[in-house]
Amino acid sequence: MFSKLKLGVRGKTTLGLGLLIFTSLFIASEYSYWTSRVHAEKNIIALKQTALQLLSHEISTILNSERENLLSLRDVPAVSAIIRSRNAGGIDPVRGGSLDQWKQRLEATFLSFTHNNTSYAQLKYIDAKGHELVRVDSLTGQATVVDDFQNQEDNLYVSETLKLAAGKIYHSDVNLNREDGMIRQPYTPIFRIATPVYLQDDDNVEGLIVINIFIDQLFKNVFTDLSGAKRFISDEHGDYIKHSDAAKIFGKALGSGHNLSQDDPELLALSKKEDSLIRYDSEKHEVDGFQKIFFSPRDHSRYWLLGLSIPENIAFAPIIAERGGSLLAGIIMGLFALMVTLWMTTRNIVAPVVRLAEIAKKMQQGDRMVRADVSSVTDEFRILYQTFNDLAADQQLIKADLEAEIILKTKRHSLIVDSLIDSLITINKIGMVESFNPASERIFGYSADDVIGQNINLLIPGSYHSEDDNYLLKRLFIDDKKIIGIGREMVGKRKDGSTFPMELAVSELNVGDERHFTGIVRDISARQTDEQNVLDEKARLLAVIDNVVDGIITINENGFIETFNPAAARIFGYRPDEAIGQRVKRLMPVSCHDAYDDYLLNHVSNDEDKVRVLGLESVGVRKDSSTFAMEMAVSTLLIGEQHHFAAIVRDITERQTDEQNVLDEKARLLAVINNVVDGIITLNEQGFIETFNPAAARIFGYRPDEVIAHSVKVLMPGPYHAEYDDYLSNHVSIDAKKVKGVGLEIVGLRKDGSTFPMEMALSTLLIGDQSHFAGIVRDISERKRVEQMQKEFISTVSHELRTPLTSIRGSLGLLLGGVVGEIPEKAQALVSIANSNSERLIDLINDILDIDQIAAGKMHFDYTVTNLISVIQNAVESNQGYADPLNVHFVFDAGEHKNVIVRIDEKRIAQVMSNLLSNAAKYSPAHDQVEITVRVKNRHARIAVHDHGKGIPEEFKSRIFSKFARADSSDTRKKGGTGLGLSITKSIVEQHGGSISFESTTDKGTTFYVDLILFQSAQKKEIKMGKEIHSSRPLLLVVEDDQDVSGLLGMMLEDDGYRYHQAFNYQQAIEQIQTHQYHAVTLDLMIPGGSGISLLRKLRADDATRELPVIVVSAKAHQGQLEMKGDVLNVVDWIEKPIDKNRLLSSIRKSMFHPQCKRRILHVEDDLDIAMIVDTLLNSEYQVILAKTLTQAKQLINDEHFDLVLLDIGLPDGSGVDLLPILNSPEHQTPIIVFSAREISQDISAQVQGALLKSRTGNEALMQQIKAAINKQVS
Amino acid sequence: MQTLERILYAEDEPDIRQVASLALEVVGGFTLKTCNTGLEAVAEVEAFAPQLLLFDVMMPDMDGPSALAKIREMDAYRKTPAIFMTAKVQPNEIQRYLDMGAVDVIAKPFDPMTLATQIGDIWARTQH
Repeated sequence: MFSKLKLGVRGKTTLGLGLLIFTSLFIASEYSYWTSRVHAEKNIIALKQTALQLLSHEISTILNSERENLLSLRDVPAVSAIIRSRNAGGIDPVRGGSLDQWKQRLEATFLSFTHNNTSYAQLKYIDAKGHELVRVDSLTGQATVVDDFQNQEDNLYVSETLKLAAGKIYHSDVNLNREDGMIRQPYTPIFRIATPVYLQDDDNVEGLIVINIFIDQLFKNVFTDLSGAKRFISDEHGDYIKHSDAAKIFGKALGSGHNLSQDDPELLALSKKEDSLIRYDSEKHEVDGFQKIFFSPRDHSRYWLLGLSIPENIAFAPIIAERGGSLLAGIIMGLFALMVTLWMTTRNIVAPVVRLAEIAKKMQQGDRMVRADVSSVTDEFRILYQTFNDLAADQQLIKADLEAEIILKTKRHSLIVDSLIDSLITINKIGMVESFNPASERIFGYSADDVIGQNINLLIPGSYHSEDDNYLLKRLFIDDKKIIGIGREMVGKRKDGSTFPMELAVSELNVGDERHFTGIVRDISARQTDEQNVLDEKARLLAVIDNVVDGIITINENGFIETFNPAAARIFGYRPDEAIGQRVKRLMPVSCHDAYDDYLLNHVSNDEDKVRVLGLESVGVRKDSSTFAMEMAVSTLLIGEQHHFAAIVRDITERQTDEQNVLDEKARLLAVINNVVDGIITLNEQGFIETFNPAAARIFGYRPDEVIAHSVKVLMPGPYHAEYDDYLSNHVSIDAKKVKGVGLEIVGLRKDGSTFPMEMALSTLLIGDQSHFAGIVRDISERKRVEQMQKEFISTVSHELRTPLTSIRGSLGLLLGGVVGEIPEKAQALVSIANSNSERLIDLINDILDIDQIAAGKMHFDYTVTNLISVIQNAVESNQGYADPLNVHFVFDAGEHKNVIVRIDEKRIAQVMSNLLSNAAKYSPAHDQVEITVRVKNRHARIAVHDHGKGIPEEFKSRIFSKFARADSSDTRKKGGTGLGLSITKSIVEQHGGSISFESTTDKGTTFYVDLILFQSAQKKEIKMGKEIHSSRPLLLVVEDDQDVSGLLGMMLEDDGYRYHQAFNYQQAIEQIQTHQYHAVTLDLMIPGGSGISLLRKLRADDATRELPVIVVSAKAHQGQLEMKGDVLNVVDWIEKPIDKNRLLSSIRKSMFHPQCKRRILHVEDDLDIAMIVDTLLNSEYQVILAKTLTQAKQLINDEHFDLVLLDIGLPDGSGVDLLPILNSPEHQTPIIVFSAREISQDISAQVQGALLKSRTGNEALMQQIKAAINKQVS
Repeated sequence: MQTLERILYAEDEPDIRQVASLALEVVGGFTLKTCNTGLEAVAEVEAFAPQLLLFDVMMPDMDGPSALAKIREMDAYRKTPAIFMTAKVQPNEIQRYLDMGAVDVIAKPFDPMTLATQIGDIWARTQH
């Protein structure tokens, strides 16, 4: 039976586990394959559609340019000249020249067009009767003029084109080229576009221009790089124009009947409904679809279908390969897992069970010695084996026990009786001894034989006989009370006649009807000696009690003194006999009585018999009523039922003096703490205030009791709480004993809500195992104010210096200018010196101010994107005036560059140029020139200023950019200047992220180089100048890794009037967003370098980009949306690929009105005070743009978008009413609120959303009106 | 285009006032009304009927921008061009004055021989 079980367990386990593992692995790998396949398919389909859209876009673009070419051919002078010269019979009356000459001109033009465009099969000029006048063919690949003219009158395209108005274009069907009505071999499909020719000021059509286009050329990109896919182009009826399978082309014209309806009627049907489609046709096992190309822009009923079909195995080749791999991996893993599992199961489960079964079988057969080997198994089996072994051991033991018990029981009585220490004697009812155990023999000295059968009186001295008789008698009468008495003390008599104290316990037992008595006798001589010892001990204890220095007093439950030792007597001044029996309260001052009562009550009611109070400090009262400090230890003891108290009392008057010293020290410390000027606050580990000194109270305006036990955060404004938390947790976590010195400068919050700068030093102290903090706080408002003053000192001084300088320079200037009359020549020289030095002083002050601002990092820069060339050009021109008196000429050469776009502060760069140019002029020889060039290299623009002076001395080169640097102090007078210019120049250039350097050769000259970073758009193409840069067209960022998809998105956006940048990975996106102001971002979820979702989270975590509208455009958009459910990431829309253009654009438009974006208000107002008030009032919530005049307002409304216009009526250059029709036009529809000094008429108020009177409108009311009007607009 | 003749000039520093007056009257040939403070300028404006306002920025009792704001409240002087003359001419400061309604800013110290031309140029600019 067990062998069958063994086979059964192994077999079943193997089979079951094998099946389970294979099934689950198969399901898991299939599931993961199918889920990933769904996404991959979507991606592939999206890419295919993108490819189709791009191809279609490309073809449309080519056709556009062909149409433009056609129209420009129509407009060449030769065409009209041919008409005029034909009409005039040979010579053009307007421009001269014969008909033949003009024809040759047109042929030449046609030839050059054909040469330049390989897709042109023919160019023709045909007159109104259908005669070809000029024709150039390129059918053989070589452009030739053809003289063999055909009459094309009967051709449909001729008659149709001649019916058209000027500028309209006829688009033919695609046909096989025919020569003289015959289909030409090899088959050459041709597409014709033609336009009619009119003479100016004439309604009569004079002819037409035709371009025949090689279809093969037009579609060549469609049929390259097919890699297994089939593509075709058909007309709207499904007749193939071109097909990857060449046999299917022109079924209709050649009569073979090949048509899309034969290959895929369903697709043809779908093409009637959709413009673009791509799908996975699971029946045909292919991905197919189409994209319409509307070749005639005005007629959407005519189009070509750009079709595609890719066999499933090619389209999804990467996925199929993946499936094979995943299945193989699954099987290998499955086999491995199966083997491991089987090995584990056999080793760890099946084998132990089998072994245990074998052992159990042995035990069942009666072998109690058998044991399982615990060491051979693990885990639960170990417990099972152990339990089995324990059970077996128990069984073994129980069996042995039972056998032993029988033997034991038989021996028990005699054993007990014989081995008793006490003597056991049984007597019958008449007092005769019946048994006498060995102990009895030892105690009484009789052998059992001596006593058995004798009367018990033998063992008792004569004087007790009668007593014992009475006792025995008594026992006999009280027959029902079978008391085993705790013995009485008696005296026994030994065989030798000596007596001894014994304890006798008697009990009776009935055997049958007879009564017997058992007496147990114990010799208690030894015990009596013990009692004596106790008495001795007591005497010793008493001696101790009488001699200790501590007073010992015992008190009974009711508070009366029971004992009072000599020390107590000495301490309290009472004799013991005076104290005993008195109330203990007498020894305490009245103030302690209550506490004592409580204490007593508490202890009595508690059942604990040994409550100890140690070291209780109290006050004692002596007999003479003087008091003293005492330490008392009290213990409670229960004697019998009664509580007693033992108190040990010590006079601690002296010790208290020491403690007083500590207290004094503490008081001194407190006095210091209470009187220092710094606030001192201690906190516990949780940051709650524990102490708060008077200075802290003064600084914060709180009383100590108002803040103690509150969080220290009440002393800091909200924004600092986090900083403080960090600081605190940092201190708790590091070694708490470490004391931190000068702490941080933070802002304090007073009780009245005002804030002030404070310095806080926090030190940590460990009391017990708790960290505490001591904070020393100082109000540093005053210090800050002084620092601020120092910072502004230079700026103030420079301004103060300018005021007297204005007078000096002005006066000198007027003197020199001869305003007050001619001055003597010598005086003139002196005044000149004074004047030029006052000029230098002014320069110096300006430069010092610049240096100061640079040092303080406060120099202001207004960066704009601008053309560096024009900035340099202006600088060169405006500094020429400086160079003229020195006879130096500036020559500017920008090379081939016209636009070098940089982001700079123009004024500061002009300052740089002015410095370099004046230096160069100063150090140039007279009648020389200074050359200025701008070159672009490696994303940098390099400005070079080159002079031919004597060069910079070697030893000076290293100091040239230092402050007050000058090559030679004698230069100062000759050359002027402050010595600060190059230092300032360097700082300005470096602030722009640029660099400055120089090359100098003695006697050859010096060149200074300024390198500035080029401003490049994200697409790395130079931005067009002018309107483009300042355009108000919204700027968007396209985050998408696939270049084609990104380009497609860009195209869609540009078509709708947006500008865009591209980012192809995570990092690029982050950088672009940080450096540009985007109106919105389109985001793919799968981008290299990090997921789109994490990018989104990052944007939302940053204040600067929290509100940036994001539109997710991804093949996984739907899944992403599900994953983000409930997570507020503020996404405008989730758009799946393939991209629905209309949905994308509508989402982007929606995002422009995103409620979180600051709305723009145009404030038309000429009163600047009011403008300023309104701006202050609104600018936290809205972006307010001011227009001071009607003209300015019109310009702004035209150029930019506003959500609301706040309008004043009386303007310097007209009435604000003039704006109403513009703002209410369908193009703008901007809400208007009139904010004017005068009442407005009924008819005006009908055109606006609100009207407010300046003098009567409060700030609240204005704000409310604006909000209401804007919200209405948005909803 | 109107010719500029009458300038209302406010400056609290007497020396500067004298130099500027010479520069404008003798060199430039303008008719000048000089005031010590902004308040005085506001009081004088109606009687003098200036074509252009030339104000120091920092003056006691009423500074230049406040005086300008006051004068702008009078209908007749809503559009009168105003120039500030100041020693504080950092780019951001200049922008602030322009925002306050000045057509231009002249930096102190100024060149007395070209001051009149400078003001004439600014005037010409405002005339179209």
